[in-house]
Amino acid sequence: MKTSNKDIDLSLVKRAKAGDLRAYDLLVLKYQARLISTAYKFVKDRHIAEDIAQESFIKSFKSLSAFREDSTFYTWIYRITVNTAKNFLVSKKRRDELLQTELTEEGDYFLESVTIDNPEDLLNASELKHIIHTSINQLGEDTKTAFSLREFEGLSYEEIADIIGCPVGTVRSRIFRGREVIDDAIKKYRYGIGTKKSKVKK
Amino acid sequence: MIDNKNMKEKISALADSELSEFETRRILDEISSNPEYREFWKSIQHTKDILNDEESDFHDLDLSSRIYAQLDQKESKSLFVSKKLPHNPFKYIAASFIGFCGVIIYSLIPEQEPSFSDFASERIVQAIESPEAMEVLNNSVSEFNVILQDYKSNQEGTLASYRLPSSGEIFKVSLYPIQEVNKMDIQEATKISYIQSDKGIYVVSVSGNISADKKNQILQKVNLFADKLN
Repeated sequence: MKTSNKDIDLSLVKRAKAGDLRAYDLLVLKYQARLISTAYKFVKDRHIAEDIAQESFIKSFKSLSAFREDSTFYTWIYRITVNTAKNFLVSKKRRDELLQTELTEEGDYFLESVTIDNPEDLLNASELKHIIHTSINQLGEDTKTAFSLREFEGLSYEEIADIIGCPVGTVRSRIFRGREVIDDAIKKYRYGIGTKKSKVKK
Repeated sequence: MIDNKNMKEKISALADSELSEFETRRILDEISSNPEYREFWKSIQHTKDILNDEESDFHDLDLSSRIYAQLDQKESKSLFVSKKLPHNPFKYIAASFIGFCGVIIYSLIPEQEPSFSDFASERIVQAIESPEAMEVLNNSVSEFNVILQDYKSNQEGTLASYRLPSSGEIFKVSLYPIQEVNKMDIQEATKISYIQSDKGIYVVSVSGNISADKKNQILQKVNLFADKLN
């Protein structure tokens, strides 16, 4: 049985519901980039997108008790973000209409794009992807297998242990090892330095 | 150093929901008090996002401090301080009696097993309202370099409006479960196609002042991403 994202988030969501901000913080760290990106698709402004994502996290925390655990936390907060972005567009429309009562042909209002995707960002994203895949390919066979079964196949540690015939603790260490190597590679790329040289176990 | 490695290994296991309750409690304390561990958690999530082809332009940002500052400012009293209970003892007695009656009445109502159709329609509603539905639409237009203008999603369907910045052409793409097809604006939908996923059959429509070729390309591409709704 695959470990779904819903299951992964559930323990953090339950803790956050009980008022544990530390658990909520991990959900914020996990989803903030995706939600800013979602908001950005609507508003086309980086700073406004950040504000919308921030507002969505605040709204979601305040109404966590209403969150039904039969859906995923991400789906739920994604909807909150989309609605917050749409509300922003509607209120902006009203503000703009006060200034100029110009409507499009269909009577609909569409916000004009005010910024464009930064080509440098797009390049960085694709470079980062390349770096991650290169790091995975450089992992030792055992580490790469455990890591790939987890990240690409979504298998639980127990299932991976069954498949490769080793204890669950070893699977946990190998997956961590893979992540550590990737983390080092990302740091080197970003800051031009490595916290330590990772030797990949062959 | 060994402690640091052990802790990071636990953070890695937490990211996969493979940590015991006891270990989770301890690790949350450690992460919240150590920036290096927070960064490691972020790095794991970032890597997962990239491997899942999620957007990554905003990974350098961290909204946490802004969120908590605002929560603290607005809500700290109501969120984190326990509220005082009312002093009137009669209120407790009345509330207890009403609650007791409610439980008795509820227990007398026969419980209905959800039917297969209930289950199926619940799944299709989840799919149609999911971010994946929007992803299917966005993927279908990805080669045109369009701007998302508006977006509506509810249990009946998902409808997105896009604009081609080069020509200013505006068009709409929608995704509806087949049982909601009557709610589509068929006259406006000049091109329609059907896609099938594990959760049922959907109708996809494209309308607007773009060429028939472009509409066909969008409909063909939607099919490639139908499995995202599974």
